[in-house]
Amino acid sequence: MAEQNPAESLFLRHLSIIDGVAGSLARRHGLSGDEAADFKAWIRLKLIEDDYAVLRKFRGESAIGTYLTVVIAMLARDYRAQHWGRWRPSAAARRSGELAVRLETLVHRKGHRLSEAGEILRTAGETTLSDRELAGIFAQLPSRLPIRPVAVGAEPLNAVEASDGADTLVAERIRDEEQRLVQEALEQSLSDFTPEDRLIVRLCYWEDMSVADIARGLRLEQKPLYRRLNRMLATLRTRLTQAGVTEEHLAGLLDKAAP
Amino acid sequence: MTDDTRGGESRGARPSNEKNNTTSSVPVTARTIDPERLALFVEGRLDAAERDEVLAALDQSPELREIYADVIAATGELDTGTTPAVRDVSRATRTVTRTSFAWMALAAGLVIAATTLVWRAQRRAPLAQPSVLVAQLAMANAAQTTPPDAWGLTRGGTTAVALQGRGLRVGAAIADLELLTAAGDSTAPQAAQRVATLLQELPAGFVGGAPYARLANQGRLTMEQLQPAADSAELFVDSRELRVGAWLELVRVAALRGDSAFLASPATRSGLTEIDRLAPRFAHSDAVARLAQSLRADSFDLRAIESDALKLLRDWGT
Repeated sequence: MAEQNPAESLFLRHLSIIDGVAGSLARRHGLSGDEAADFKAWIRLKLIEDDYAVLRKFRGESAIGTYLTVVIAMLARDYRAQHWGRWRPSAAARRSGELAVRLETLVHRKGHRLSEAGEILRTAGETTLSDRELAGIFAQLPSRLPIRPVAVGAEPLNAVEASDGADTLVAERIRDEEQRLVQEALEQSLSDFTPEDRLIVRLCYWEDMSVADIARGLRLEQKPLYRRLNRMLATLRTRLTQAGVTEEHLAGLLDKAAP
Repeated sequence: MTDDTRGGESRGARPSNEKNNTTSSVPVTARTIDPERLALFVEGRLDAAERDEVLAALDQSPELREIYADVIAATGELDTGTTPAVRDVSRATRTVTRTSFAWMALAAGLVIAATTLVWRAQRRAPLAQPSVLVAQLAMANAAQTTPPDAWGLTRGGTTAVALQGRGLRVGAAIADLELLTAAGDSTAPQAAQRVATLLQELPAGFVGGAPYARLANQGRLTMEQLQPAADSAELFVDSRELRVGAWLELVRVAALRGDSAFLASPATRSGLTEIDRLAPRFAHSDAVARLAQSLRADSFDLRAIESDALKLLRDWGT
């Protein structure tokens, strides 16, 4: 029997890890059923592509499981960019769990009505909750419009009631401008932090990672990290207040650090 | 992953013996970072300067942070068996308290309970791989009872078969191949090609099918050559379905050969348990109950057994 290519052998030996990581990322990004299966198959194909080019680049300095996890996370990002554009589940949905991520994906990314999304989730055995209960979860998520164009049907546009009046648009502009100012003030305030401190704050609030995950990832003790994060937030609060950021905008920053 | 994501100019893309010698002026981003370097960062194995460089890259690049957050989430959910513990053992030992001991005792109890449950579940005789089942089949009159093709002309063809049913078909095809090989039949390589074709129709299946495609090019096959290929096939289709498919095919063969010992064996009891477990995945088939009844009867109705095993293969594997 002809000898197996070493990269092919590496692929086969670690296929359960590959599928496991792909499955984990599929869940994290709200894929299930056929979509999750497509994603897993796409990941496999990418790893096989060009005679296992990615696996042939593995030098053996890190553990293969960690290497594969990084490679698959990089591939997953490409997959999302190709298939979804810039859309990604909201931090609030991730905080609320897998069901909220799926619900948000079905409504905001795919354009299903809430009742349709509920039916899809119940049929797939992903929930037994009623539409009313799902609406309760959905109400906690930020409102977003689908990034991609959606079909509008045959109804003439002039017969469709405008969803946003002029007042709403003005309010949105003011809100966007406020957010831009807060963002600038935040970046300015963060610039004095060490790179590790800045990263901790960004991972906690931009990427919505739990303090436990940040501690694990950066190999820090969890309990002192809570204290460190609280100190950083106190500093940030002072600086942002001095920069004119209101209490309303600050409030969201302070709900996570308490152990 | 784009090509430049895999390496290129970053320090981590170079062989390890060079990584401490120079510093790079190229900023590390999601587009340029070497995956193995990020993996080393996740494992805490970079020196201080390299760690700072990756920290700075993570700080500056939202794309890289997104990837990093995914990596940490996935490694947290799955035990890839590789990431070292966050704290070293000596520090961990110093911080063990009475509460920790209580939790450790509770955890140990849970581990023992879980292990016992797993052990007991395993004691319920999981269905063996096709080669083990074939070894239990009487070979005395093997030559005169080649099983008719369960799927007729569609077997191994390119007709769209649900992924769910594919495991059964692959299992049945592997059982046929193992039978032919055990009997020293010269057509075994053709049977290997059928298995390869079935596997190659799956996503990335040309890798799973490759070991069988290689066997198909051999002049004569031995049972030892088949085992690595069978292990590989179980990575590409559901192994429970594969084994049930093989068992159903062998039940057909045993019925055709009048091999009552096989039909009354523990393997058959395990097979019946497995089809009960798999049944919720598939559309209802009345062959399940009939086959169970026939195989649990005091005397075997061989024709009914062969017919119901065949029907079940077709119901679930098409």
